[in-house]
Amino acid sequence: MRTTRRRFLQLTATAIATLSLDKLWAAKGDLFFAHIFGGSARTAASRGALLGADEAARAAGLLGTHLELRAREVVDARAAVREAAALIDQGALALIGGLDAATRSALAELAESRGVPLLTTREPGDASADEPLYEHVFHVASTPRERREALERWKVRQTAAPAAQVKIADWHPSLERFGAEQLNQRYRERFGGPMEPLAWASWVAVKAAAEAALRGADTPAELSRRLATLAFDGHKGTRLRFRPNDHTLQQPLYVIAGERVLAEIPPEEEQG
Amino acid sequence: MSKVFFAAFFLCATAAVAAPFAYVTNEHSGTVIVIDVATDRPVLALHTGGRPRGIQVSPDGRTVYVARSDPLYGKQNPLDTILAIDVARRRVIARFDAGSDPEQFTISRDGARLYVTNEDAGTASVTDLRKGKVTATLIVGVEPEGVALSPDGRWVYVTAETSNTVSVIDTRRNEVVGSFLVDPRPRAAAFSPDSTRAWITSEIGGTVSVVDVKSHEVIDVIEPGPDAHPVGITVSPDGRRVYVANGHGNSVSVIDAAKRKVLKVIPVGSRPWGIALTPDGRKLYTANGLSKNVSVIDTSTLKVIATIPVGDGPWGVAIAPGPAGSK
Repeated sequence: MRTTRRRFLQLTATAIATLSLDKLWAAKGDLFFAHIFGGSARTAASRGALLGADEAARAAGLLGTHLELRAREVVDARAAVREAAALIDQGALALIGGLDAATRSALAELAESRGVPLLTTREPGDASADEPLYEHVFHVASTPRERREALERWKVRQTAAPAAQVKIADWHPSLERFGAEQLNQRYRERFGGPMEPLAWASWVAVKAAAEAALRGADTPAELSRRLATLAFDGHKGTRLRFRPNDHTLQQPLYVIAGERVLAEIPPEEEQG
Repeated sequence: MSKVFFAAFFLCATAAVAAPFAYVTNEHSGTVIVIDVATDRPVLALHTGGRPRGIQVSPDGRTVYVARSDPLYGKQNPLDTILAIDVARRRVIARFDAGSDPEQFTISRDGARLYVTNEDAGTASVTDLRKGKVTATLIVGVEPEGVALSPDGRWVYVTAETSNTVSVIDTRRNEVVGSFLVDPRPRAAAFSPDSTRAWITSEIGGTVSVVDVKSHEVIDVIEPGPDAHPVGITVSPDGRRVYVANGHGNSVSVIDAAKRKVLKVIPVGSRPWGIALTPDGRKLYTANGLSKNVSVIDTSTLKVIATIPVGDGPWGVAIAPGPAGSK
């Protein structure tokens, strides 16, 4: 009974917060996403999101609206929640961030309680387990389990023993097909360096949120609903979607040896 | 022009020429192959250098224009240009500034202007062919590619791959007057002969959007096939059919324009990209990028009747009348 009552109160609070947010957003007339980032990989995260925001702003402008990214650099999970909450109060349509497991978990709790979508990325080397399923939380980075499974699938296809130093990545700056060359070049021209996997993840998080928003999701709740079914292009040659069972991006991964891309591993569901 | 490196050589110097001819760009080998559509044999190769892709015929049929860019993606350099091939003399006679990284373009009805997409700059350039220079640079979507002119000459649609937008240029003002969204990675556009409908391919979306040109709004979305990655598109001269090159789907879809239903999916070479009909609408040519050939489809039987090796990386195809006096 106590559990049921607590759940009822949580749902009521979420509903009130969501309604208030929707009114706030409608009154502002502008779209903005909040990017919460920090840690050792903050530069790549920031740059990828900035490129995504620039491109989303261009599309929004053509469609007669305004879209921007408001970024906050933070030092820990507590600061991340504080900054994110403030930006939600200002009318943020979505949150992007959660590089480390602790921040990701804290932001997920906030996003869920406020009914605002959160798109998470991961720092390189983040080995934390799969995330619990939240209605409003979506993950653009592959999980360690996905990368292990992708590597196993690739090894099965090899006739010779693969090199020892092989890894799986979501992206690589040498990719060329499916518009990847153009995206890598846009990043290189803007920032003077290669687009690393985290930069791509931050870019695609902004792109997914922007695409959902520009296709008519004009409240946080609607944006979450739209993200759950959105099929979009991430310059990987196939439609990208968030899996219904864990809201993790279903995407091709790449086998990397040194600085070379050896192979593309399609999502498991597309294996022929 | 003197700096343009090109050389012409006849593959079949004694072949009888007959109108019309198909011109095919090879983006990797840097050539334009000329095919006699009467015999479906190549008769000439023009070396353009660089990376030739978009190709169009002037309204008077006398000139074939080719968008050529640097093979290495990057900032504008001297290879970025529109080449003009004189159909009668079968040689490059001029080149025009068209901004950086020109990929596709269309030609105004009077033949005086080119509307060119600049992929890396995110712009569309308007090149005045009489003045020989770019007279307007318009902001369009991110990574623009496809560009098409309505047959009445009023509208130019520019598709943009990353932003999934179609920008509408009013040719009377040479201004972008609106934009709308279509499915992911729009590649090309084509108009109905009466200029009331436009058809937009979306490669990643796997769809073709049908647009009401009066309102510039999407009114229907068609899936041309289960494995389709739609890229090139053309409409038959009578407006009854729409032909879609399905890219990595390795096929061409034939759509009934009135019913908006797929009539047939025809397997062709690997990764068909550019697509063009003969002026009488009886034969369809597809540039198959990965199989290095061109498929020819008889539009009455909807069957492939010829496969023509053309070179490395066939990308675009356009069909022009033969030279005056040809047999």
